[in-house]
Amino acid sequence: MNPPNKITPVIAGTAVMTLLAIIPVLSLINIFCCAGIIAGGFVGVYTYWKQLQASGKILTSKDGGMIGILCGILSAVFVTGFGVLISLYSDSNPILEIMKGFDEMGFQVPPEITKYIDKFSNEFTEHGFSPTITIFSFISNLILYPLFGSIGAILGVSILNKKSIPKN
Amino acid sequence: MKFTDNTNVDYKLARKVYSVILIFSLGWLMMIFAAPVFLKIGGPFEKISSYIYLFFSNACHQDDGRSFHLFEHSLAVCSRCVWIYAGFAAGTIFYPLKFKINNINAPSIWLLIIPALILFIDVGFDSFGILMNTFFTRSASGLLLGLVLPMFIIPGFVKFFYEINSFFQNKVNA
Repeated sequence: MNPPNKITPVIAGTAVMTLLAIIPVLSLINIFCCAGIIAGGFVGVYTYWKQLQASGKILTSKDGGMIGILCGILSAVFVTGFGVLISLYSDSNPILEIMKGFDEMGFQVPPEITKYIDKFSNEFTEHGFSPTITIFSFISNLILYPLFGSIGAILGVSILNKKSIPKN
Repeated sequence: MKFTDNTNVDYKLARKVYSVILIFSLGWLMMIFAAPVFLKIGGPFEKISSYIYLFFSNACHQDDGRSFHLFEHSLAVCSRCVWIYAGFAAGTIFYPLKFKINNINAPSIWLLIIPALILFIDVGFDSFGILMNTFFTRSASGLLLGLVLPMFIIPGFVKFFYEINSFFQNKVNA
């Protein structure tokens, strides 16, 4: 019997990672060391583990890690794409909105960041999105998402295998 | 191919994986401290510093009031995150003293759940205004979680790369 394919787990993990990154308020989870991305990797592995249980196979770290990395790469693309789309179709300047939100929440933005925020804010006003932020976000997302996604997946494999292998 | 708890993982491969994780965790920590240092140096380093701050903004709120400062500038992440990453680096350094590098068995899951719970309680109590957390509680709960994470992540990644390596070797030999 062939092992189940990984399309459903990858879609599930990617959906969780992406939704947790783009939905306002929920996206705050990622400020806790990318907890949303770790959760997405875990969900991907959990979905695969459920499928494997039906076919009586063991979850391997190879499959789990691959699911986490794949979910991370796909989410990095989607999150960056959504970011560009939202800023293109929105009239408001997100940088100014974020700054306003920080003010309301009582967060203090370090003065060293303020002048760069002004630069990016001008790019939004000029183009409708910031090319600098988009390129840099895409690169950093391509590092962070597969990294934390694989960590979530590897943790998932450790946890779920402990659950499924009975102690002698 | 079936993997059991008795799988004998190649020591050389495990050492490579461990070295990469160690270098990566130390490099990550150095970047956090480099941001304010580069800002202090100024010139072209100032721009590098701004990109480091921007990179870590995806992973941390970077609230100035909840961050440690170096040369009057905040570190690239908040105090809790600094201690999570510092704990992770320390846990990785001391890992070989407690476990074999080619070990692929994670310890009891409670070792991960308890520090995670302490951290969530610290965050939750503060968020709901029950008990305000302090630099000490944020740092201690972060350090505790960071210290235990390598015990799960190193065996996991050693096993992951062992299985990948075996998979490709089987393909070559077939």
